[in-house]
Formats: sequence, C-alpha cells, structure tokens
Amino acid sequence: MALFRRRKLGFIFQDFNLLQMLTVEENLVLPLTLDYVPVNDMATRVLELAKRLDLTPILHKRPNEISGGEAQRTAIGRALIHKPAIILADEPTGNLDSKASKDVLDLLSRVSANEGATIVMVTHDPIAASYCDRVLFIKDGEFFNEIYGDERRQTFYQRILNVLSLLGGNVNDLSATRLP
Amino acid sequence: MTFRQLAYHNVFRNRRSYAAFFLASVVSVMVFFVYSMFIFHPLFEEDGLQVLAVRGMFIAEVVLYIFTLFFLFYSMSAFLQARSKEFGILMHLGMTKKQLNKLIFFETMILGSVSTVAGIAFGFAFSKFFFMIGREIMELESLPLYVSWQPFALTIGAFASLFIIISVISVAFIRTKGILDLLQGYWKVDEITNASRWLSFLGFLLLGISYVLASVVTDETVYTMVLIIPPLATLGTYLFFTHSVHSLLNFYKRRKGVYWHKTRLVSLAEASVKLKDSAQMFFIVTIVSTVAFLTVGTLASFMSYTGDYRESNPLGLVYISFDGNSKELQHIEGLTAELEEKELAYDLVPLVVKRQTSTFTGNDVDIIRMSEFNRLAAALGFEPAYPDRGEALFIPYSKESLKELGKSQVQTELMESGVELSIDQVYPHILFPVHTVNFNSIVVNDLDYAAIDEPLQGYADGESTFTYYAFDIPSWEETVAIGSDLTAQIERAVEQEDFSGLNFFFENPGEDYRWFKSSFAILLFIGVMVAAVFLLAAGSFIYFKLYTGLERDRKQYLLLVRLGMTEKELGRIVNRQLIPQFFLPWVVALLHSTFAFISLQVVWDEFAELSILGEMILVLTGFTIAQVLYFYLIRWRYIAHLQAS
Repeated sequence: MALFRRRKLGFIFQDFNLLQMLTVEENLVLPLTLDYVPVNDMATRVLELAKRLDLTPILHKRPNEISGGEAQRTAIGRALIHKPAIILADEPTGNLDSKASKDVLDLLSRVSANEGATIVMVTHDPIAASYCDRVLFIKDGEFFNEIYGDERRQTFYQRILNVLSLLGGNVNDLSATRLP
Repeated sequence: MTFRQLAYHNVFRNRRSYAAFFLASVVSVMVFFVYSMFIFHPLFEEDGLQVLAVRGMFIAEVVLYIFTLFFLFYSMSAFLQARSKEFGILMHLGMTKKQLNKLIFFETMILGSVSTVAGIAFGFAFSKFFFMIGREIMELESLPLYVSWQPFALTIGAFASLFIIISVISVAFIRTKGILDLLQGYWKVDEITNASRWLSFLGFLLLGISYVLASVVTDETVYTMVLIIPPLATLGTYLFFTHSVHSLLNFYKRRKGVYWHKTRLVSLAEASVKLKDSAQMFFIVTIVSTVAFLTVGTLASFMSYTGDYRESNPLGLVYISFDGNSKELQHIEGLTAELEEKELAYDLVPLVVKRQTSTFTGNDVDIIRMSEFNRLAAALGFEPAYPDRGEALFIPYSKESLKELGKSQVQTELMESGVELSIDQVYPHILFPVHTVNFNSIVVNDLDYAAIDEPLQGYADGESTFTYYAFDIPSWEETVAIGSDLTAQIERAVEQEDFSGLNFFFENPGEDYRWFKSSFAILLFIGVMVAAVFLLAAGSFIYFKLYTGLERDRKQYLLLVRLGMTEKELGRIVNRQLIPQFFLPWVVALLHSTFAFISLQVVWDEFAELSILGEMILVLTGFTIAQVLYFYLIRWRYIAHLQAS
C-alpha cells in the first residue's frame, strides 16, 4: 500500500501539509528520498520542476517564510515530482486568494494536459470546478448529478452554477474529476 | 537530500524542542563519565575510603543508567507522539512503516551520539575540577588527570547500548492505527475531562493515609513502614494527578459565579485541558523530584551527624588502662612520642576513676575527682566544676543525656564506702566520647573522693579503679594513624569477640571523625550529582510539554488578543497556566519529602540523637530557589515566543 502511494499517487491538501523542518527544495524531493533515488537524479528533477512551477527563488526557504500560493505550488510540486498516475487534491484552493487560486488551477490544468496525470479534486468552489472535464455533484454525502465539460470554461461555469441552484442553494459539495 | 539527511534535518531543525531533553542527556553522560574517570583512576588503591568512593560511584552509575533509560524512553515517546502529524504526512507520501522505524532509529542515534560526544567532552574538560573536589574530600596527596581508554569505552558502550534500546522500543510505541489519525495530530486528545469520583477520593485517601502513617512512625514500625508507605504514596500521587485534581477543578467550574469571571474562564478551562494532558508527566516529575530531595536530604543529614560528632567528642585521643596492664607506660610514651613526631600540641590529663555501687539505682558508678576533672576542663577551655562536700555533678555522655540529667535530682549513698551524695546538677559540656564513659558518671569533691576507700563489691582493690588518659589535642583532626597498632589490637579483639588479655581501651575520635566526614562527603558528592541529573530531567519534562504546546498556544493567544485581551491580562493568563505546571508537582514533592523526613528523623533518633530539621530546611529551600529561578527563565522565554507571532 505504501509503495503504491509512493509511486502512483500524489496528494495535495487544503492546508498544504508541508514539513516545517524542511526547506521548499527538501519538501519537493521528499517522495524521491523515500524511494532512495540517487541524489543527482533528485537534483536535476528538482531544478526542472522548480522552473516549471516558478519556485526557483524560494527553493531554500522554509514553509513558514513563504506565501500560501507558494506553499500550495510547493505541495503540487511534491505531488508531481515522482510522476504519479493519479493526483488526489482535497480543496487545493480552499486557503488561497483568487489570484493564487487561478495560478494553482492553471498549473493543475497544464500538468494534466502535459503529463497525462489524472487529477481527482474535491472542491466547494464553482470556479475551481469549471477547470475540470467532468464534474460529479454530491449533496450531503449522496451522489446527485454529473455533467461533462465543454470547449469554453465560461459556459461550463454557468452550467455548474445552474446545477448548484438546482441542488438547493446553500453550501454544496462539488466533486470534480478531470480526465486527460 | 538522502534519507539520512532527512533524519538529520528533523533533529537539527527541531533543536528548540529537543533542547532541554538534550541538555539532560548531556549532563547525564557527563556525570557518568566523571564517575568512570574516578573508578578507573590508576592511583586509587584498596584503601577504605577509596573503595567506598568507587563502590558508591559504581552504584550511582547503575542508577544513572537505569534512570536515563526511563527518562529518555518517556521523553522520546512523548516527543514522537507530539510529532504524529508529521509522521502522518510522511506516510501519506508513501513512507513504509519500516522506513518510519528507520527514520526514528537514525534520529535517536544522531541525538544519542551528539549527546554522548558532548557529555564526554564536557566531562573530560571538567574532570580536573571534579578530581580537585575528590582530592579534597578523600584527603589524597594528589589526584592527577590521566588519559586512558577505559572511561571512554565504558561511557560510550553504556550510552550506545542505551540509545539503541531507546530507539528500538520507542518505535514500537508510535500509534500507526491510521494515517488519518496521525494527520489529525497530537491535540486531538483534548476531550472533556471525566474524572471518576471514586478514584479521586481514593487518591486523596491514599495520600492522607501515607502522610498519617509517615508522621506516626516509631522506631519499631519503621522497617515495615518503609515497605508500605512508598507504594501507597506513589499510587496516591498517580490517582491525585489523574483524577483528584480534575474533580477539584470540575467542582470549581460548577460554581459559575466564580468560574465566569474575567480571565478565569480562559485560564481555568485551559488549565483543566493541560492538567489532563500532563497528568502522567506531573506524576513522573513529582516522583523524580521527591527522590532527588530525599537523596540530597538524607545525605545532608549525614553531614549534620558529623557536625554533631565534633561536639560530642572533644577529646583527641582516649586511652583507658585497666588493672594488670603492664604496658600502660609503654603505650602512653609511645602515643606521646608519636604526637611529638607529628609536631602536634597536646595536653595529657590522667584521671584516676573509682567505681562504687549507688544505692539509688543499684548500678555501679564511675567517680572522678574534682581537681583532676577541672584540669581537663581547663585544658579544653571549659569552666571548672566545684561540688561541695556531699555534692556531685552528673557527667553527660550525649546531648540528649545532658537535657535529661539536668532534670533529675538524686539522693544516693555509695554503698561500699558509705559516702552520702546529693546530685542535682549536670556538667554543661560533653567531655568524654560516648563509648568511653559509664552512663552513671559523676564528679565529686576531692574530700569525698578520698573517703572512698572500699573496693567495688565483688572486685579486688585494683579492679575497682582504672586510669583514664584524656588527650586534648587542638588540631584533633590531624591524629590520623596515631596509635594505629593499639587500634589494630582493639579491632582484632572486637572481631574475635575476645577481650581477654586486653587490659586497655584506646579510641582515636579524630581518625573516626575524619573517616565519617570523608565518607559522608563522598556520598553527598555522588548524591548531589545524581540528584542534579534527576532535577534537570524533571525540568526538561516540563519544558518539553510547554514547547510541544507552544504552536497551539500561540494561535490561541492571537485569538484572545483579537478578542480584546490586554497585555496585562495575557501575562496573568500565562502565569495561571505556567504556575500549576511548575509548582503543582513541586508542592506535592515537597509535601512528600517533608513527611518522609519526619520518618527519617525517627530513624536518626534511634541511633544518633540529633535533629535533621536544619539540614532539611536548607535543602528544601535551596531546591525551591532553583525552581523559582527556572520558572522565571522559562516564563520569560515563553512569553517572548508567544509574542513573536
């Protein structure tokens, strides 16, 4: 089970779950460390990933010295570094402002498109959901409806809102799946 | 970053949490190493004192080892528990249980090797200093520093094995029920405190019983009580912290008029959560502190015994010659020659003592002539005694007898010679060591003395008198080894329980005193160092608890400040929180020790009449001052960290 987690899954959390004792760089390579990947490989992969995620300037900072968006980008980097097949994201934008949220969601879209990883994301946010290919609506723990994305994100967003109003207004769970 | 580097970062970047724990381990290693330096010292011989020192230190090393094992085990498992969220993240990322064990093993070994190296380094650096103390105490010519592989090997071997044991067992105690449990972290345990009423009552009851038992101990029951009281008190303490305290707090909380009052609401609610969380820690700190107090206190009471010894043994040497002692002159000349050779000033007063039977008690009485007695008193710098004809003074043999004899008034007649005496005073100083004088000894007027002309009933003329040679030697502690052949003869007779053919008695209180004093000083020296390790460990438990809760406390204070709490009120809340953490176990430990000392006093009363009250107050005050200083130090750091956010 641990090996499966380590090699096939990547996790992203609402509250980032970075290790406070480690620098950004060290947090990024942690999954590789657990797999005893040679140090040179780790170093090249970190540099490449950091460039893509725009983390290069903060590589040697500790998690308490960086912003929420940076922390979430680090967490995404940590989830990506071992090239997992599935990335599980639990409210990845829950603790971020709209600018940082947009960065994170764009990043996830790109990852899904370029790396061919399936991302399963749980969110309350219709905007976040609109980035997905397929959205499953869950109300109070029960499956409610499902819609598929279309070419334009704006119209998909409108459709999601329509379903939400059908769901009965208030606070709703949105479960979204993005298929590559 | 390799796997090992991960372990390394975990330790070194967590150093603030590890600090107290690390300090206690370093001091423990250091003390252990210093003892080893003594034990393997090439100049130590098979001499009485040095054998005692080596044995004492060996026992202390064993105690230290066992204690450090428990201390590290407890701290380590508490520490790992506090890090459960971190382990949860690691396992979420796919760390296997095996890898987790390996990580913890590495971390413990890093910590262990750093503290062993640091402890040995400090120990070696300070060993010259400790050797100087040791040399003073054991009165050796010199105790030079030496370098040998043995102390290093012993210390490294002992602590390497210790840390390996710790890392293996503490791993087994991480709860890995589920990753989610771990992720939710350590503070999940803040549930509402449910104290069992029955157990709280039992806690008070057990403590009460042990205190009562401790205060009514007599010298007959003391040995059974030693077996009964400590387990009772330990169990009582445990229940007290796990249940009784909470019942008290709940009782307090139920009175809303008192509870919902200003900052009390916050601080009481906080206190009950913290107390519950720290109940076991409090229990351990209390027991460890009690043991430390008792160790130092008991050893300090030995020191009061040595202080008392000087007062009850003012004579430098005592030689008593009985009837038929052909070597009397030879021995006395030998002793004076030895004293002169060592260039010691002395005053020799021979006292011819007559023995008679008292009609009052029916026992035999030793009678000393006033003129001879006053010569001795003058030599010692005490006032003379002038009993009139028909009067006499008691001669006290101990402090206790001084008090008792002062109250008694006796009309008696010396049966054999028909001399009538009224005895209603006691000479106010102790002149003779306790074993060298009859419990019934008196000073009489020279005329009365001359009137004693009949021998003691059933004895010949010569047998009913003896000569007591009292040596007054101002520098009496320098008499070591004087008359060693006489001491050897006495010792041999005592060993074989055969006093026939031994027509004299010899005692060298100076030498005895030196021996007592040095051996007690050695024990105190050993005990204080062990107690210091104990107290540091107790302190580090408290420090550790505070630091694991710091992050959470900081968030809470931030919230309170936003709700409009002033800085002054914040200070008050911090005090309310820290004071119980620091002083609750402390007060309980002080109470425990006080009652233990009451029992100890009974034991002391049995074989040496002296009071240990002064020493006890000194020891307990000293510890309290240290604790208060520690409190202010931690409080200062704690508030600084809280406000750093």
